[in-house]
Amino acid sequence: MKKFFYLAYISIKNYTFYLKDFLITRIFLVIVIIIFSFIYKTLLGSNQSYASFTLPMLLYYLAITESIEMSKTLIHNTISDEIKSGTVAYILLRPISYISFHVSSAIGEITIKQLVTMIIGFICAFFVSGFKIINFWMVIASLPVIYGAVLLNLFFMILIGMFAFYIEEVRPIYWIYQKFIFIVGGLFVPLEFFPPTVLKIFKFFPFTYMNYFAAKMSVKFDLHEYIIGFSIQLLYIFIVYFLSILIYSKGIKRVSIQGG
Amino acid sequence: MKIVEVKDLTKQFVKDKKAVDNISFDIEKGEILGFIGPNGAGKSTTIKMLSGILTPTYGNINILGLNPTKDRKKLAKSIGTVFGQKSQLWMHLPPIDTFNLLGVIYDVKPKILKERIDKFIELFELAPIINNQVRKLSLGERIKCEIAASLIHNPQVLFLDEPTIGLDVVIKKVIRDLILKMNKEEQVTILLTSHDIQDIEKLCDRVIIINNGKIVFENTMKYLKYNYLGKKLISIKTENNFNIPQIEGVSILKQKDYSAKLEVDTKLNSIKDIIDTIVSTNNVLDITIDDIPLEEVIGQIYKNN
Repeated sequence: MKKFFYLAYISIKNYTFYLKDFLITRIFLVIVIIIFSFIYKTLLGSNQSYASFTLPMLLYYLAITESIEMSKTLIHNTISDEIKSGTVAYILLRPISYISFHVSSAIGEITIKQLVTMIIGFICAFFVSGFKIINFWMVIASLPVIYGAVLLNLFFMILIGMFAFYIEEVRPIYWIYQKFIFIVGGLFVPLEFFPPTVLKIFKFFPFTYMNYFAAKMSVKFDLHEYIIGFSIQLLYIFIVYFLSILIYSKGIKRVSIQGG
Repeated sequence: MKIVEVKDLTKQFVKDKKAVDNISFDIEKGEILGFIGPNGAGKSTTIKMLSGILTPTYGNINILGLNPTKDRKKLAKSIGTVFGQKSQLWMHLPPIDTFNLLGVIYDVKPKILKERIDKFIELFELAPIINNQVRKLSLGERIKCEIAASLIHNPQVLFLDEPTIGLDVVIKKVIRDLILKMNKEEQVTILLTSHDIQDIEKLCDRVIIINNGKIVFENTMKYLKYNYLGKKLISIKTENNFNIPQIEGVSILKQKDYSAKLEVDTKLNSIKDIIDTIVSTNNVLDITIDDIPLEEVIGQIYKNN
């Protein structure tokens, strides 16, 4: 286990070289929260809530979904570039599995990014909502599903990267995945804003557990829903992880490392 | 003692074209074997099969009693690799961080890891750069760190795939000296590939020349030097019309008013004598001495065969 933690530590250290860049890009989150506060206000009109979500709940919800979205590393591009350039050779020659290497090196960076982005988002939501706070015990109770969402996204992006063994360009797959996150993942609005039938269908998709579920539990906690949702999230994490291993083990036999 | 045994090794990526075509060779413990050939000859493909990254189409490989394809993870702890065109260092961190990380990945005990890092800092003179970001290092400094990184886990076999590519002559010499030093200090067996005949000449006991995936030459460096590398190319620029010196072993390949290209047989006359004669009979502005291109050496080998 030591090597996995050390890799995570090195990736955090590597990332902190860009601390200034990171903080500058968080300005985007502030802008998003301000813009969406206007959209939410228009949507609510004279009502206190919509689908039982109040304005502060929606703003904190957005802070969490954006913190998950903005903390992603483009691991699929890294994997694809490694396979295409042949740098994959170095990792294959280490006494560590290729997927574990990438999970460990990404998880450190993502965790730190998510935590800092969420705090910035909460501060912003606090001011924009008119100094309203949510029940932070719900956020703390939801941390496992927030990091479950982070992990599910990471494994999904690794799975996308694995397609580089078979196709030249994996970016179009990522593009489709991202659009699903925007809609089915409930990035900007909770899925309760859709008709109930659509919501029922969406709950079968893995994308629902990559963003919406974690954010909803943080602002509108429900133990029964939490247990069912967390179980489905864990199931998807294992499914996507095993799919990645399967595609990797088949794909590695096809690898023809360039150069020389 | 044989550390590496390769028999009938073949790799075919596409139909009708074999990247490596039925090659066999051995490497003894502590030996530096040179593996040279032009671009696309099959050098890197061979190294990748030896390290277990690529699966051979046919043939057998035995390294330290292990089959690299089946036992890649097990073998990983006994081999080190440097691919001159690729980096294993974390670009935004200082080299010391990559060294420590590799030590942990290879399960090197902390005390031994510290001793090894200290040893390489001293041996490779890395003290001034060990805490600088890798992306700010020069190519020569980076290659030094790449080689040190590949030795952190004390491998018995080291694959160096074009470690001097892109380096200037001064740094090339530094890297060659380092390779020799660690070969002696660490008793590590080395397979070195290069386009540069000088790398091989300065470092290797034995040499294999590969072309179109086939071994076209396998013998000692001494034999190659005596039979095929006895010639040099001299390019001269003069202030006035070039005066052709009458020296044994010198033939003119090209001549224009103020410049000439000569081929010199160093077995018949020393380079020093030839240069002295040219300088005494001409007002020389510029002079360069080159080795015979590798392609020509291969051509000669084919001709002799």
